[in-house]
Amino acid sequence: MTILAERKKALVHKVKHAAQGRKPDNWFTRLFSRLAQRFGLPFGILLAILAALLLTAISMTLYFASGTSKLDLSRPGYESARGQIRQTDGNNQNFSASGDIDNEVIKDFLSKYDKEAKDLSQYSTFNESILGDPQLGITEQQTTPSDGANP
Amino acid sequence: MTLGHCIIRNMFKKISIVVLAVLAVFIFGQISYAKPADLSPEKESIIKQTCVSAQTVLQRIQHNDAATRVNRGQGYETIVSRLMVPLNTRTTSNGYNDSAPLLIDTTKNFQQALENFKEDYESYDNSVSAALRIKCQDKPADFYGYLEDARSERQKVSNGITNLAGLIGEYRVNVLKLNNEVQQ
Repeated sequence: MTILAERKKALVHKVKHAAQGRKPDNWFTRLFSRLAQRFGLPFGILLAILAALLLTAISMTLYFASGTSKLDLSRPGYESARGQIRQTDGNNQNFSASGDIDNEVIKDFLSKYDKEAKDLSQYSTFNESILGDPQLGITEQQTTPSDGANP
Repeated sequence: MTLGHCIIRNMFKKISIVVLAVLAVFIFGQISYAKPADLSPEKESIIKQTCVSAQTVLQRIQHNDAATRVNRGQGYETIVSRLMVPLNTRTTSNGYNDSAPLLIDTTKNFQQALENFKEDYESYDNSVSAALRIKCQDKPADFYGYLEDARSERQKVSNGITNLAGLIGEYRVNVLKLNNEVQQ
């Protein structure tokens, strides 16, 4: 009886749609509306959770795939690396894009430029030898492996 | 079903396909493959014995490198966006037509070199991460393959830094040329 009633309802729905010049609903729309009618709010909540999970998965994928994760030092295990980050007062290094140019202006520019270039020279240059077998302790003698990372 | 529903459904399908394609490219693009190293039985045995402690050292190096990458990245970005670009704008607007093209060309090269540095670092870090993830006692040849890969990628990062340092020097020379043009 219930199946018959359901089929009748679906048929009436189709006829109504056809009479209004609309295309009949596909299986997805029918299933979706049936579930929504049957479960109501819990179905809505489940849908919201699924949407949140999907969005979280997308954002996490982008976070790892875009390389942002490699610059994120707030990850566990990076406590020591966080302490090595240079704290800069960016405003001091700003150079105005407008105004005249004279000797003084160029002198001011060069002092800021040289300071920034000098600051860069204190960081590791990614020397390849740091990954050598002896540095990593991959040697026949059981020596204590040295860190070899930047000071 | 209304026309609006049809349009929304078509749009949803297209967006889903694009999102899935982008995710697939990102996910599969990130997986690092390295050729297993050809190792003598003695070397393989040494690696099996020492690789766990080597991975610990490698992890420490990776953490220090991350800090260096951030510091260098910040420094390079400061140079290009707060110093080079404003000076280029100022030089052009003041009509110093001999020096302006030189400064702009060097800045473009610097920006390109900076992009290369970022990409090289990412490849390097992927190789190191792969070497850290692997069960090195079970797969010593694979571990050593990733390690050799990391060495070569690290060399590329180092070359990139040398290139950037050269461009910083070149820009400075161009600023001195601008100074001469200003004095004339």
